[in-house]
Amino acid sequence: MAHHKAKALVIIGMLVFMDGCSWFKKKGRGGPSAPRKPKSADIRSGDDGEPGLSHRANVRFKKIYLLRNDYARALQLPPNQLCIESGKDCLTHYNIVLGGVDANLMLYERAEKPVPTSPIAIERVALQACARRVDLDFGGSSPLIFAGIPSGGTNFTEAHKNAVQRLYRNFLQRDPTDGDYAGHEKLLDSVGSMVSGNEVGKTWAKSACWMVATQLESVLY
Amino acid sequence: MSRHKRSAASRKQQGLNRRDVVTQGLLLAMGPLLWSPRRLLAAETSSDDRRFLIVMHGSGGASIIDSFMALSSNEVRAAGGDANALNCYETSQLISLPDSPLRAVNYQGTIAVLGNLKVQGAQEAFLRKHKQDMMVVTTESTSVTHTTAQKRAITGNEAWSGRTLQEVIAATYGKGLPLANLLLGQGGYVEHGIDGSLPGYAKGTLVNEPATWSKGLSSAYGIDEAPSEEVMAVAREIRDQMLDAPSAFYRTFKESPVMRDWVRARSDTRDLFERGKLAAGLDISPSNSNAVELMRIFPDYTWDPYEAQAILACMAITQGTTCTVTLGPSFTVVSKGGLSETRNPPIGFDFSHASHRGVQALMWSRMLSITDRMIGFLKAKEYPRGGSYWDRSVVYFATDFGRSKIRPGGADVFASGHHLNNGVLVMSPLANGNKVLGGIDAKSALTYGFDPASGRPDTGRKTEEKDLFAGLLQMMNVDTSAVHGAPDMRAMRRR
Repeated sequence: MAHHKAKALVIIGMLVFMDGCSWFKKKGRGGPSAPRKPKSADIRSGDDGEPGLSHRANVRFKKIYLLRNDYARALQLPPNQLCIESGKDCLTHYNIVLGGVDANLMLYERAEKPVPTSPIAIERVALQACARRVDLDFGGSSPLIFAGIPSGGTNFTEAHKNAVQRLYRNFLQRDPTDGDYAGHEKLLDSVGSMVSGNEVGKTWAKSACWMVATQLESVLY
Repeated sequence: MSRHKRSAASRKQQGLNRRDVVTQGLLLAMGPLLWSPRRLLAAETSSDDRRFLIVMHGSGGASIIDSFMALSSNEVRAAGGDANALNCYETSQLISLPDSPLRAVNYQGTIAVLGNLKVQGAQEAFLRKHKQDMMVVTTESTSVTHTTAQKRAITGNEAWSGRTLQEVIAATYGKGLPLANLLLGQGGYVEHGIDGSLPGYAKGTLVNEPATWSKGLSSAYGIDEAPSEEVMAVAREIRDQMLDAPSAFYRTFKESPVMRDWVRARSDTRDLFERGKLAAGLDISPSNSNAVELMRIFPDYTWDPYEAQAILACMAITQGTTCTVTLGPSFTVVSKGGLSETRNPPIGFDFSHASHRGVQALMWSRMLSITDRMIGFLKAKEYPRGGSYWDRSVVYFATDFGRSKIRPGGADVFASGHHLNNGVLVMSPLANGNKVLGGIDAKSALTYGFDPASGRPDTGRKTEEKDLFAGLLQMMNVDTSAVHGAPDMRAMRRR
């Protein structure tokens, strides 16, 4: 018995020694000059400042509670009042579609992948939540996002820019790029040609909010 | 750094590169069109010779010996059994028709633990009305665990690479339908199968709130404060091409399958649903002319989810949206008022653990009532190729398992447990109607099987899950050669 124990100890000792010595490492990993792969090798950095392409691309969609909380925080609305349909918090109607669970249906595991109707349901929630914020801001004395937006103007003013900036900061935690601003300016142009005078401001605000709230960056993570 | 490089770098810093915007925007916009379910569907020949499968599930164990194969105490005694120890009924509680092997239980009683809820069984009227389309198939299942047994009831215990019955039917008859496989029920009956080769259109769509769910098939249907469709279309285009396409987020993660699915769904699927006006067509509201008749037939849809499921199921089938629906009473209490007005006891049929006969009678009546009204509606709706929708439909009363066969001291009120031995009801003009396939041993109250070709009772056989699975599919003209070891269940087909 003692003989076997000693044998085992010798083998373990040799393995530890081999693992520590450089010979073993060189043999197995291609020599000392070979670059060590970074742990986060799934991101390939661009060589010209471009964002890297993620090969792992581990993207998920925001499930019902995360979405509800994010929207509520971004629009500063009570979480259970983002949208009301048939007298109920509309998110409950789309619970399963939005990755929720339902013990009454014996569904205890949420869908990790979106179903075809998930984006549609989120667009619906976003539209109603945005309309609520716009109504509050246009009707109240202390607007939170859409301050000073002219009801009928079609010029992209500082007030529009400020509103866009707040939307991006609230929903995406970043400032808008010039391209983002250009998109919202184009939206105002289009709305101005499709909607009558006094409705331009509100219609633009609802649509601009909806665009940001349903951007890929807002609903996926 | 050259001027060109500087300006390119500057544009990138600003996040706006015109070439990128155009290229990425085009890719983002065209991607779904290049590889989309709609294109695939259009490329395939859509079938107009469809069959419709309605999985009507009785969660908790719908017992066949408390319905269409019930035994009388006289039969048990005649076979040498103990009528006081077996679950059998007095002759006065049983209905036998001279022209049918099927029975009915007209149980009357109360369920004490539900506030003395009065129960009036209603199997006789159903049997008299529908016996020609009713077929009972005796079964022996393999699990007494609810969810496992439920899943096996629809996969034939993984008989076809783990596909569910609904998925097979949707794969066979669902090409070109926007929601081929609609899952309105619960538990293992609405679980997806595990066959990765299943076509995407055959995968089930889960519905948790049948009365209101259809609104979620449109981004803006019924939202009063929504901008006009034209404005929304412009906003959508700007979002997709000017905001998303050039964003660092999209460019970093564009190879993600979730991202691809999302982009495809919000363009292609949305278009498909919007063009078909599905949200409006399936909306359960007085403003929808399709729904008005069904709201009259199922007037309690506002508080009884099973009735809302039935409305949605009928609309989806007859509007060319769906070829298979799954529905059934839930495990949740449904009552318009107090305990004594309970329509659905907690845990459904499984409440037989507390009061067997009353719960079986209550739940069978509940399911038969919904089925009767659905059949009436489907019979009255003409299928585009002639005949009615009912002529092409099969209702499979899937259930978890049977219930224990014993009772103490001849009691009328007693509790029951789970049992593998049972039988299921199948209803269809395609089924070998007015038949019991198999038989029952009156001494033990255990059912036994039948010869798959002739239907002759065979005490040495049991109908396994895969046999029933294959038989149901064969009844609906599906080639079941993929089901390993399943016989030709000729006896289950009318022709």
